[in-house]
Amino acid sequence: MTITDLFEEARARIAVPDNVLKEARERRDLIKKVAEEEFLTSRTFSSGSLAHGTQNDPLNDADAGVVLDRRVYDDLGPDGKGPCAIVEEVRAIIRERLKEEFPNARFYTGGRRAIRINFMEPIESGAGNFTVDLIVAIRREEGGLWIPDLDNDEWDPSHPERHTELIVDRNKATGSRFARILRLAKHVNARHGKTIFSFNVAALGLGAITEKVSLPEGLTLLLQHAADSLNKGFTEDPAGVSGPIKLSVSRRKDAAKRFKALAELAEEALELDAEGQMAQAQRNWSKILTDAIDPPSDEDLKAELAAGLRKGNERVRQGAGGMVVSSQLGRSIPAARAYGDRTVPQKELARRLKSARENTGLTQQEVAEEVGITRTAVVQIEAGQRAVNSLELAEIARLYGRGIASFLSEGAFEEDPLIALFRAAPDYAEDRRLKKELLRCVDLCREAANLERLLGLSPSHAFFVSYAIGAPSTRWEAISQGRYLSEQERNRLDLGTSPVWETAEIIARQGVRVTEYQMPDTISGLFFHSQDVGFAVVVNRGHSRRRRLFSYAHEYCHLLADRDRFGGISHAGNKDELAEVRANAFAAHFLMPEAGVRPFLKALGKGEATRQNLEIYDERNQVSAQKRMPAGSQELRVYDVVGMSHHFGVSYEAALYHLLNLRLLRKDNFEVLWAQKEAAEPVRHALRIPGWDEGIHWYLAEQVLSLAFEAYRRDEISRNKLIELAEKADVDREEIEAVLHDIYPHPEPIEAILPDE
Amino acid sequence: MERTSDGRLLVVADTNVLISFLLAGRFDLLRQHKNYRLVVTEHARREVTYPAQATELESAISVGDVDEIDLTDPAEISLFAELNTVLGRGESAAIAVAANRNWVIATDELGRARREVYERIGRAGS
Repeated sequence: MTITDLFEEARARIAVPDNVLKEARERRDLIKKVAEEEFLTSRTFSSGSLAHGTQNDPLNDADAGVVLDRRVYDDLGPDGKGPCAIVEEVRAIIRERLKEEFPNARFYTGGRRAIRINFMEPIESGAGNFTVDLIVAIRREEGGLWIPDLDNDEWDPSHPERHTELIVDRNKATGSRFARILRLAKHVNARHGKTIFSFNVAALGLGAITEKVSLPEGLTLLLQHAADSLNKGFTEDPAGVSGPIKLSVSRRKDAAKRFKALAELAEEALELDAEGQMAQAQRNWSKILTDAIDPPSDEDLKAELAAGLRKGNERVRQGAGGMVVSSQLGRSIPAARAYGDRTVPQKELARRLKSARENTGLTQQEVAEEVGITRTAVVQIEAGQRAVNSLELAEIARLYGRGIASFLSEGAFEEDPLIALFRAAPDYAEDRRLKKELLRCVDLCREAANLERLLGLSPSHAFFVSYAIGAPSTRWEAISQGRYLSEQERNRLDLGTSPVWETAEIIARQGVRVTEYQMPDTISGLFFHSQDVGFAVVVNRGHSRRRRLFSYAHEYCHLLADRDRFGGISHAGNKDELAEVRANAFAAHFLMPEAGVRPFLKALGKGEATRQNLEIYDERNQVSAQKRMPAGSQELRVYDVVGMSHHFGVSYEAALYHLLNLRLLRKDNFEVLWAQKEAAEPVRHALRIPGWDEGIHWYLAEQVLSLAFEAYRRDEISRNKLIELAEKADVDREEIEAVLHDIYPHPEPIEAILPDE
Repeated sequence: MERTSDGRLLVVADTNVLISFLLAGRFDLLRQHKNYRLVVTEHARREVTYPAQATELESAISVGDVDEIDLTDPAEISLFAELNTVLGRGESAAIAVAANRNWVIATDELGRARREVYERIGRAGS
């Protein structure tokens, strides 16, 4: 395969399929036809890449224009009425005409110049929506057209028809090479930061490609010309009607630098190819035409470099590490030189972004709305057709519950943490609100883990205890394991037999992130853990505090015993699973240890057998003693269970079941008390047992911000990072700034340093 | 260090610098500085949230006194992501741009942010 073949292949890769081109032209022409029929026009025209023959895949838009007859619309123009009213009129009429054929289509002003017709119907399945931009123009005496500036209700001079003529003519003069080279150059621009508009590329191409040249030569010429021209100034309008093509100074400089580096790579590629160093030439072109030309295989490259070294080729030298390298291997575009080695290619970035979005279940439209960009932009980013900027990436990462770096760093792209969580509970995977809350939770946990690393603290998960206990095979075994684990854990934590109302606190102090979110009523809680985010327990904020306490203990058991799973959701549908049965048994015994329940009941004068016998032996005979309780005195009543549930901080029902399991309650007695459970609340009130403060909830803010304040004090994070973390944890910037002012009332003076001029 | 065609140094500004001048009502000093051409990242612009300050900054950008840039270069984004683990978004973006493009940075941050400036960009005048 030759370099020419590679370019032909590249051309095919970026080409728009014929059926898409046909449909795009039909939709554009339909708009033109409607405009012609409804208005007194002097003509319509086509413009943009579709008209120029310089379109690349994916094709999501087309441009057209309608020139109104100034004999009819004589009040329009730079000295008369502005364009806003007539553009609105055209928009309304076209919408009326097309509403039957395209009932979902949307009509709005796109950018500052055109009416944008979004058909809301992709041309191909899986593609983005297709739009046509229609410019309403009037003829300009001096040549060209007046086109709308809708932001200022003014008319600007332009000559889109002349632009099309120039490009079409140049294409004919160069044996169709011009359009092909432009398409490749547009692809290069898109893959290297899209620093200039596509039309700017076309205008630069007109200055660079004047005769029939090969595609590699033509692209090199264009890159060289772009670098020189942009370094000198802005690109003039090729039709000579409007001003220079818009671009900020810094972006122009940036573009010039990038094109210069790319041109150097291209020049070298041409030289390499001429010398027969095909693999090295391919390597250079693959860097320029990313995703359109594949890099050569390592074997080909090494073989060619080795052959070059044997021949004493001056372009090849021995690298410091003994490896054969080309003198130009290190050359790349300047911006990528310092850190580019650590980043993934754009195609891989695009794939990761798409995969992460699909995992979250968000649509492209929803992402677009959250991030503040158009759906088309999301489509293009995910197709690798448009560079994502840092602001968009930061917002997308936040939305997907990931760190920005996870999209960029080399190595495997880790599975979305929530995928594993929802795998066992797919019914909840479609709950957008739940997912959104949990993604925020994962993000905050990751930040907390990062703060721990910065502070040199041992990661919370490093020492968090785990019990190597096998999976239970029966319910009996599950209950026994739960009880055993609770006893072990109470001993380890030195909790004695006392109630543990502060279970959430106990869990949190072991480095587990603990929080509460509003979740569907059928979910009591969930847990997850990973190297990246540490350990976390999330409990349903909508449940009563007693139930939440039970859920904390339940999820805690999962973290202790189910470490082989990334996480899990405890919900009504899986309560019979053995791991859930074990966690429930753990929670009951952890919150109500038998060694604590018995003394509690004894203090009430309950919980003992109605008849007790003692036998004393005196080496010759025995002496018997018997104690009989009054009939029914040991039977537990509603108020006993209410008292116990309050003492241990659990619900009436949980206490009742636990008493049954501890055999402190007979089945018939249990049934009576169960039937009386409605009486629990009046009894509680009558006994003046204080209610629980339901307003007490656990937030991640304290767990994250306590680390953040310390990291800030030690200069491990900046003040703005501290504020950013606070905002992520729903604490206002003003509140944090006030706290910082109180803690550090006298900031350090700042040393002024000016740059060397 | 990069300069504009009229010879001014390109200076990427961190948010706090912008806010300080806006708060003092002297943003004009930055807009028309004879030696420096001010550039802000989109992150920094978004961090200027008080309406009056945001309006003045927008106005400076729209008339061309101040340039606004976004970070699309993978190398810059990668550095931005790395810095954002310890710094706010605005300062991370400004340092990434200054380090990657060899521009001057305007910042009044201390602590970690200043340390990153020294490590990534160096200390001018020294």
